[in-house]
Amino acid sequence: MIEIENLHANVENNEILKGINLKVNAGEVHAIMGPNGSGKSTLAKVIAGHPAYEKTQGSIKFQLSSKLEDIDELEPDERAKAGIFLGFQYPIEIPGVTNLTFLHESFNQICEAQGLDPIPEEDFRSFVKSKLELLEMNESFLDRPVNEGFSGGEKKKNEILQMAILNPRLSLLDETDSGLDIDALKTVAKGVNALKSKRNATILVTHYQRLLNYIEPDYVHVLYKGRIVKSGDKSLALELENKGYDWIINEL
Amino acid sequence: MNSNEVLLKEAWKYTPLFKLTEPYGQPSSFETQIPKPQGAAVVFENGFFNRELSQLPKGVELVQSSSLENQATLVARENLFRNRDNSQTTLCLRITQVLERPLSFYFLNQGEKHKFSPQISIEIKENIKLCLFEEFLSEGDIFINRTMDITLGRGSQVEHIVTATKEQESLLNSNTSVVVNQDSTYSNFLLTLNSKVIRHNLDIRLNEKGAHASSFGLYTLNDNQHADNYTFIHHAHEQTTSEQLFKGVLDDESTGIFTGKILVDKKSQQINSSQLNKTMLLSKKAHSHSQPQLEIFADDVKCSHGSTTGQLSPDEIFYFQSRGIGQRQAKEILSYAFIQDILMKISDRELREKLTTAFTQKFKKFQLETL
Repeated sequence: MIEIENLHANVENNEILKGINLKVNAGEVHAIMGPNGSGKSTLAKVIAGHPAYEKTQGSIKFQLSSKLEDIDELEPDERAKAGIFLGFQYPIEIPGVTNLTFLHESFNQICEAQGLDPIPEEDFRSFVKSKLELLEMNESFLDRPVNEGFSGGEKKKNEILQMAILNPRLSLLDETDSGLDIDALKTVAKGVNALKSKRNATILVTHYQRLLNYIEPDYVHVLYKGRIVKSGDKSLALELENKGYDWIINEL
Repeated sequence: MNSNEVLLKEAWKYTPLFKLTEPYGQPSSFETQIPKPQGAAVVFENGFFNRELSQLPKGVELVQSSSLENQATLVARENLFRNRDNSQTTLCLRITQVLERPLSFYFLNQGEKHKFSPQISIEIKENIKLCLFEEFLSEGDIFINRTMDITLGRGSQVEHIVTATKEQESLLNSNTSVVVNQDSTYSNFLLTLNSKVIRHNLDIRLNEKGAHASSFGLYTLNDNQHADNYTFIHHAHEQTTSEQLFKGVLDDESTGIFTGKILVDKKSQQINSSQLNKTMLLSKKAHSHSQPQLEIFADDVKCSHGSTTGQLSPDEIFYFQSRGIGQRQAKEILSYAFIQDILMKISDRELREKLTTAFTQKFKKFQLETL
C-alpha cells in the first residue's frame, strides 16, 4: 500500500524527520507512538502533502493503480483523490460552510476522480445518514457549519464520518484519541473498526496505549527524534504503557 | 487650505476625483437597447424616469415635488456630486401601504462618455414595511450619479439594497440620505460586484427615539476595480441604535475602501452602536483602506468598532485539499463563506438567491493566485 524509505522532512528549516522507513500493506493497522515532538504528526502531514512540511530526502511510494509510485508531485487534493485520508488532530473550523455542503463537495470530487457520476444532494444526504448512525451522530450535524462550535469529541467524530464517507485506502489518524472521553473514544474506535477491510490500511498516530485497547494494531512503531527506534507487535504498546518511553530511550 | 477644503480632501483621499470628473456629457437619447427587466418596478432610462416602462404597485404614489416634504433632503450633507445637475427633475414617490414584494428600481444606462443623474425622493408613511431594491444595468463608459432621499415615517421597517450584478464598465456615484424616525428600522445593503469605479455616499440620520439603522456592505473586486464606501451615521436623538458590517474580498489590483463615521450628539444619551469592517486580500497587489471615525460627545453610550484585514489561512485550504477539494475551489468556497452572513440578512428569498448566485459567479472570475 505504502512504502516510505529514508524519509527526511523539514518544517521551517528544522529537520524533524531524519530517515523514516516504513512499509504498510493492505489490511494492516500500524500504530506510531512516541513522546511529544518526536515527529509523529509531521510524518502524517508529510504523507498527506501539507505545504508547510518539506520533504528533503528519501521517498514515499503509494500504490496508485497497480504499482507503487512516487507521490512527490501530487498536490494534497490529488493524494486525497488517490485514496489517502488524513484525520486531523485539530480539525479546522469553517464558519459559513455547512457540513453537508463540505462533505458533498468532497465526495463528488472523489467520485469524479474515480470516474463516477456526482450524486445529487438529496441522495447524498440519505447516504450520509447510515454513516451518521455508525458514529452515533445526530442528523443536525449536517446542517451546522463545519466543526464550528463542535466539542472536541464531536470534531473527532466528524473526522471519522468524513473517513467513512470517502472510504480511503490509507487512513492516517493523527491523535484521533486526544481530547476524547471514554464513551467518545469507544464510538470513534467502533467507527474505525467497522471501516477496516482487507483492501485498506490504517496508520494510527497516538501518544497513549489507551486507543489501542479498542483498535488493535498489527504493528507498533516507536518514533523518537525523527526516527523509528523500535518496532513490534501490540505487546510493545503494553510494555510502553508500563515502562514509559524512557525505557526505550535509555536502551538507545 | 481652509477647513472645508481639508475635509473635502480627506473625504476623497482614496478615490482620486479625476476618476469621476472626466468630461462626461449629457446623453442625446433617453432610450437604451438594454433588455427591460420584468415585474413591478420603477424604471429609469438614461437618467430619466420612464413612465411607460414602469409599473407602480398599489400603495406607491407618484406626487409633485411641491407636495413632498422630505426631511432627508433638508438634512443631507453636502457632497461633491449631490444635486450637481439642476436640469434634472426629481422623481417623487410617496409610499402609503405595506408592500409584500420588493419595489425594484432599475437604472438602464447606455452611452459613451455620457453622464446620467437620476434623482429620487421617497416619503414613507407611518407603519409601512417594504424592501427597496436598486439595480444598475449599464453599458459603455458612462458616469451615473444617482441621488436618493428617503424619510421613514414612525414605526416603519425598510430594507434597501443597492447593487449592480452585471459586469459593467461604468462609474457609479451614489448619494443616499436617509432620515429614520421614531421606532423605525432602516437596513441598507451596499453590494458591490461589478463596477469599474464605485463610490457610495450614505448618510443616515437617527432622528427620533427608538430609531435603528443597519448598514451592511459587501465588495468583491478583481482586476483594477475600485469601491469606496463612505458612510455616516448620525445619532441625532437619544435611545437610538445602529450596527454596521462591511466585508471586502479583494483580488488582483483592486482597491476597497470603507469609511465609517459615527456621530453621537451631546444630547444623544443611551446610544448603542457597533461597527466592523473585515477585508480579505487574495493578491499581493490588492489594497484595502479602512477608516473608522467615531465622534462621540455624549457620555452614556456604548460604541464598538473594529477593523481586520487578512488572508485565507493555508491550514484551511489544506483541510479542503486533504478532502479532495482543489485549491482553487477551496478558495472560492472560503471566499463565499467569508461573506455569506451578510447575504443571509436579506429577507426576500428571491433576492437573496439571486444575489448569492451573483457573488458565487463573481468568485469564479477571480485569479486566486497562490500567495
